[in-house]
Amino acid sequence: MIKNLNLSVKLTPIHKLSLKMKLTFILVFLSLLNIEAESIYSQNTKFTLDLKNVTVEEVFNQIKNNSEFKILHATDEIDLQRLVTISVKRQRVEMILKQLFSATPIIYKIVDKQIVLSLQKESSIPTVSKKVETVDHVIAVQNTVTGTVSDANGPLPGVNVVIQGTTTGTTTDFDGNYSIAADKGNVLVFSFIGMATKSVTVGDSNTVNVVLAENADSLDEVVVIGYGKSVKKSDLTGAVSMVGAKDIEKTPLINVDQALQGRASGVSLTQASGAPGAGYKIRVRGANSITGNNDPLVVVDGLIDVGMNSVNPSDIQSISVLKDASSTAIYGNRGANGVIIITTKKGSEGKSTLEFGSYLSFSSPTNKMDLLSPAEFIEFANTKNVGAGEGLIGAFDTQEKIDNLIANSVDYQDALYRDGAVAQNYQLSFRGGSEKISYFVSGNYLDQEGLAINTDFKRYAMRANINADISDKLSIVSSVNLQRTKGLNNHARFGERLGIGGVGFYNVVPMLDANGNYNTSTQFLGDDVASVLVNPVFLAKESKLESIGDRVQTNLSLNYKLTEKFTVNVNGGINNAKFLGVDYNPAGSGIKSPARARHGSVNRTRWQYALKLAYDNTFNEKHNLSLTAIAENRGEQQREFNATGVGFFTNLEAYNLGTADTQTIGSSFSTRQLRSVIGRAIYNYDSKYLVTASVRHDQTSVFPKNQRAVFSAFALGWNINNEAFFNSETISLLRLRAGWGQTGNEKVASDAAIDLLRNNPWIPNGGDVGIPTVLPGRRLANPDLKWETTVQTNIGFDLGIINNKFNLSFEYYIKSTEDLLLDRILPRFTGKERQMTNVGTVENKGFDISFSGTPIRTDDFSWDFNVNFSKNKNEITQLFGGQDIIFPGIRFGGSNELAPSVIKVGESIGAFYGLVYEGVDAATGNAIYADERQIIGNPNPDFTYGINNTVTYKGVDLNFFIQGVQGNDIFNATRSQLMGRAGGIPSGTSAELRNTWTATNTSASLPSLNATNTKLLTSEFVEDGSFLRLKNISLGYTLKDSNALKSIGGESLRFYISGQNLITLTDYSGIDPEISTGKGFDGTFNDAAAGVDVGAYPISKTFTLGLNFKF
Amino acid sequence: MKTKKTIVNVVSKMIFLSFLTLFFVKCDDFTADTEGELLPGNIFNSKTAVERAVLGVYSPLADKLFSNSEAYTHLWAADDRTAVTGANKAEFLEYDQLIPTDINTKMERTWALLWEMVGAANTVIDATEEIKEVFKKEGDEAGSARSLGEVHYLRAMAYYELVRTWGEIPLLSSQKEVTGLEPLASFQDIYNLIIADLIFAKEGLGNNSIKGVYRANKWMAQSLLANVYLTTAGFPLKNTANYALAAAEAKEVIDVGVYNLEAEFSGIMGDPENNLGKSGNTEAIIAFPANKIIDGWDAGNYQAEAIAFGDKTVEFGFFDNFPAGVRKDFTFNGGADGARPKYSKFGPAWAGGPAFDDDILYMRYAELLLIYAEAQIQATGDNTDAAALAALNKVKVRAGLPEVASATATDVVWEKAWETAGEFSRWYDIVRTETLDEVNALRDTRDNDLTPLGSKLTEANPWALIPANDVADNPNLKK
Repeated sequence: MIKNLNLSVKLTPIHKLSLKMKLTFILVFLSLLNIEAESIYSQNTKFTLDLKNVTVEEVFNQIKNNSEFKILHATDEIDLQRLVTISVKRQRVEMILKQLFSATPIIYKIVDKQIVLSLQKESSIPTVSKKVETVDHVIAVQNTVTGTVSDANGPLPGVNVVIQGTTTGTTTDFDGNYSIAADKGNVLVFSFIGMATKSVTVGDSNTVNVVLAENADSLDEVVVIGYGKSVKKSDLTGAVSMVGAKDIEKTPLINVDQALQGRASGVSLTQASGAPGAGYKIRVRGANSITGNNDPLVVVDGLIDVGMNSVNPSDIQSISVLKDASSTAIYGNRGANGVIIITTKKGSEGKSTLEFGSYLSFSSPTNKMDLLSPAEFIEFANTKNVGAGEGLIGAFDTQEKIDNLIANSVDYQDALYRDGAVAQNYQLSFRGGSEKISYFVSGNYLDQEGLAINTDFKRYAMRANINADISDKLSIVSSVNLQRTKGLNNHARFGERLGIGGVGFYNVVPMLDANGNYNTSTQFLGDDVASVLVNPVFLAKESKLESIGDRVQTNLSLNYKLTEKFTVNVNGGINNAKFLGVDYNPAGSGIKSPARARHGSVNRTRWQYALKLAYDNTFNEKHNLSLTAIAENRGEQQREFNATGVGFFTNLEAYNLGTADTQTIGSSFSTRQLRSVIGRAIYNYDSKYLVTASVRHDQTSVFPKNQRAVFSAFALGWNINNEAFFNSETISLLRLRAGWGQTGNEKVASDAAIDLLRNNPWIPNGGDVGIPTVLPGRRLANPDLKWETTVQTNIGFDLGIINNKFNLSFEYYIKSTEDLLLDRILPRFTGKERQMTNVGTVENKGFDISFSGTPIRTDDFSWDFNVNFSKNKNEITQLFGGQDIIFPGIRFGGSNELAPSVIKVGESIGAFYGLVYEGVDAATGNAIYADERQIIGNPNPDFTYGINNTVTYKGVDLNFFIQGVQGNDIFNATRSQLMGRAGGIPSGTSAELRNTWTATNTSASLPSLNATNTKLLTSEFVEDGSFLRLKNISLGYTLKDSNALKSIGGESLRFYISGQNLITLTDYSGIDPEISTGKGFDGTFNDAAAGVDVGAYPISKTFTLGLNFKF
Repeated sequence: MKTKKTIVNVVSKMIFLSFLTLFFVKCDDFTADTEGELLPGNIFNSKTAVERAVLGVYSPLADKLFSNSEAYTHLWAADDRTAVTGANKAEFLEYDQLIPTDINTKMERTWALLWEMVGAANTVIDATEEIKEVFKKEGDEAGSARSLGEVHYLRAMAYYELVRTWGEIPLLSSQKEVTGLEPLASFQDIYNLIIADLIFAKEGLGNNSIKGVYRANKWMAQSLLANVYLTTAGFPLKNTANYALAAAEAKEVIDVGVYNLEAEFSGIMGDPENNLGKSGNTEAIIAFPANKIIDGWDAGNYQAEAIAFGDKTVEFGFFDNFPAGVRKDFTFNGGADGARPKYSKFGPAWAGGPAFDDDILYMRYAELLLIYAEAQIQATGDNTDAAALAALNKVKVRAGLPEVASATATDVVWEKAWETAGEFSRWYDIVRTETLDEVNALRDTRDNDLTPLGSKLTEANPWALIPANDVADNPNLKK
């Protein structure tokens, strides 16, 4: 039942509450609401069995294989080999269990989708009395403690209750009740398989009720491996990282990708921009492709290739990251970059739950750059101009002018950034269900102000996941996700311009001119010092770059049980995204530029349908086999239209392009298709020997001739701990895994193989309107283009210590990408620019370690941790025709500077290449460089790590999460610009200039302002980008079973305060080390341009107040 | 119950049908994604289509190819240009100081754009027979000669720029069998193609540009040919017989009388009113319209010195030797107080607006007069050749200088340095006359202190470096 959310009901108890509680409620009503919940699995599966003289174990296997039920034994005393005869027709599992155990001392309980069996030790009370008499004869029995043990779903039977330090014990009965003779001061230990053990000291009361929590490290955790399949963690052969809702809930998230940062080994996430709503760069085990797309494939509830951030983070049940080829191969296309499988929450039969949550956060920049004061700036600018033989700068040639400028100077960093940008998030969800239908419906509203003024991101989302059993054989799973995102001035590149403007726009330029208009540029100071930068405050306030994205993602899946062993599934999905960009750049938003407006729309539809046949069976009790065959078709169509107007006689912004002086229009269409046939087999023998194999045949429309390819993969696992010979007290789990597989990639532009002509306007008459002309295309055709193949070998082991209190996973991999889809730069004398080719090889090698544990778990206090460590080495091992080096000529930023990034054999993608800077010639002030250019840096880290800790004490929980990156280099192009070295900013603003060589300071570390030989692409600007960051710290308090809560129908209430990015330890001198660039408006990252700082939108330091309320 | 059975039945059938559809029907190849794309193949199927392709060859010219500060940094090696100090002018300074690199991005861009013109021209020339057919069918046989003439003229211009700048380069005369591994061609072969193209062009082109004053006509081809002959008579080919050919070509253009010196310098450039397309500037022979939609910074880069922080200023020595008079006053601003003078001839600062609207003058009548004067003196060996002196004196008189009764070829080259200061000819004149050392000797100490000269570029090897990527791709380009 959904509780009535009546305001008066909720407000009543406020007076009775503590200050904390009052604050919480104030928060509720101030900020309104948002929500979440846990999953309850359907227990409605019905069985038809007709078995004669089979073992109990065989019956269990039938149950397991035909449902999601798992059977847990709380005791070894259950005789699994007992022969039984059983006949049921379309009955629930209870009926089977009843038949099996009615005449035995075995009791059963269905908890979620676990069937728990335990031995009823005669009738409870007499047993205890007897034991007390026999064992505890020294201590007189004074007390009988009784109580109920339950878990989140109700009473728990079969729980062992023991007095600590003795052998005295009992188990709970079917209703979870127990009774034990114990004294005040005795410690009762409650233990149950799959649950965290809990200790309670007996106090004055004779009633001790206990709630056990599920053990997070349980090996029976299910891992989603794709195409509708989950396996027990203990039967997993591949390399898969899991992040569950529990991990996600501790941090207030703007976007889904944040949830993965530092939490999954082998997965690297980089926040490229602090712009509101900006996504992260995600790489799974390094980048494979030099010029291609290296983003992992994202699958949401079976819908393939979905934008990661089109999912509302609060809707997520779990995220699986498939890392090795044996896991990803089944996804073929782009699986080589890793596959991220997101499962959203579902409803379940039983109690309906209403949940809302909300948070309110306040952000400020993590860092502020140290710049020259206005007086210093003037002094340095004058010094440079005089040194160049041009005398004092006109604007700075009298003290009066200087004083006046200083008086009107502006701290543009302060003026540009908000101190306390507000983000608010509200989430509301309902879930529940009847016997036949279950539902999960949620709504979300997020409004995130950017750090820079007049930048903003909003999201409105709604999801409905509805599952229904139409008959015993037919069921339907459906989901609809609707989302609108609205961004204002939040393009990454616009953010870069603001970022560099904040620190590079001269502080001596007054905000406004004499007429009260903005000083849009530094031209105010005259030609000698004027820079290319535009007043960032003007830019932020007067630009209006709106982007509106509407997404509709729907998925429908029909499951039909042909027989008990065969299931047929038909599913189809449509993912439509419409992006509308309406930009208005006022006159002066470029140097001397007129107003410019653009209206652009993209309408992209991806569709997919598939037919799946699944077979699951167990032979001779020990051979567990699962076969899947899939035929799948996927396609995409994209239509674009854009119109641009330049020069407006009146300020009509972007909604009247027809008034522009010059108007240009464009449109395009593209389409692609992928057709696949896939087979997968998963086999295990008695959970000891595990085998997974898959094969996939793909056909793509992208390649003219070589459309088809076959990719295969297999993996083996050995659960040594399940062997009879293995007998260890300490080691509870030991598994070896090895896998090998191929994955294909065809992710190039749909017309990449074809030679196309292009049009280019030419204005031979001197008129205003260009005549479209025809030119040969820039791209050389390559009809032989074919699939890129990544071959990956993965070996690993999993180790569990002391009942899996500690778990260690280690994986080593070698990934080699061959027939690389390389957008080769042609020698330009051919008249062509590029050709898409299959040349070159890139290798990624490394290891992932994940270590987790629960060092302390007592009744009131627990501590969980998870540490992960990833190391990857990326190396280009071969290029086109023995070529050694490619200069991709990547340019950045407002002043269009060149990046030092190159593609060189033996180096990582995007290594920095340039001259080694050897310091300053003390005699002349010139810079000294080594003669030859060489590799001067590598943007890829040596290793990355994450440390996540959760400590709970009673209702209080504390989570802190540290993330680190070690050994990466950053080319700090911003630094060279701020020192006045790079194009377009002739006078430096950086405080570093104080350390410049002058005739009187010949030991300074920076060359003279008038040095004639300084170069930009040198090691002088290469810095260590390592950092350690306190990514998140949060303190929460959960209130349960409170009368106040109950009086308003609440079940639990958690409120929390958290901080993100509070502490960063780094030697990097720029605004933030977590920097990466090369992200275009198309949203893809260029790995050949990683680690170049060109003036990023800063990352924020955030404080958040939030609450989650469950009814 | 009945409904349920029906549903189950229907769904079972759907599943069965899906199987059939997926596995048995759809096994053909996918077709390529070409909707809305311009496909090669027989595109020369109408006069209009040919016209579009011909204009396509022009179109790289609108892409800042001849802009003064975004493209040609090698021109900074000459004495009429220098860059102010600081690494923000690094790409200019490396030529200014004669120590170029092979990753100069401005030069890479220019290299690519020129070859784009060659590629586009070759594509049209490869279809010569088809084009003739099309025009024949439409009864306009002169039209095909004119269209092909324009294309040959443009290819010659691109190659002329390439060979004067980078020296020996590959020579592609067709786009059909391009491998990317072509060897370097000899100067002789390259110039042979240029000269053949220009002869073809001047014969096919009419006296007037068709549909637009910026398009090729006979006189443009001939003026360019005169300059080509003059160049081939000097370093490195030294075909001195070509001086006479240069003089003859120039003379023909002079004599036809369609071009004249503007009476005032202000009539030449720097004012949109004097654009070729507007008032018919009588001095512009070859000009490119810079009115592509470029704004702000880009617009300024077309004629950088015309706006703030020009990348082009002048060396002190050159300025000091520059004869005083109206021409000097027109050409420069300042310089009187010892501060570095700046170019003013290209017009006032660009005030901003939707499109930069100015001409880039590639060859002016004044330059043609001086080409003639120099070629004639060299060809005749007569420093008092009347026709040559008449041409020279026309230029001098407008500059406010006295007429001369005798002049050496060197005198004419200096006159050209001053007349076309900051334009496109000075560096090439220094190269072909092998006078780099002499010119450098005239450098002022103030320039030597600020931008000391290196020695990567020399009189014997004055060529810009072929971009590193091209050499990496094609080791045959290593020099």
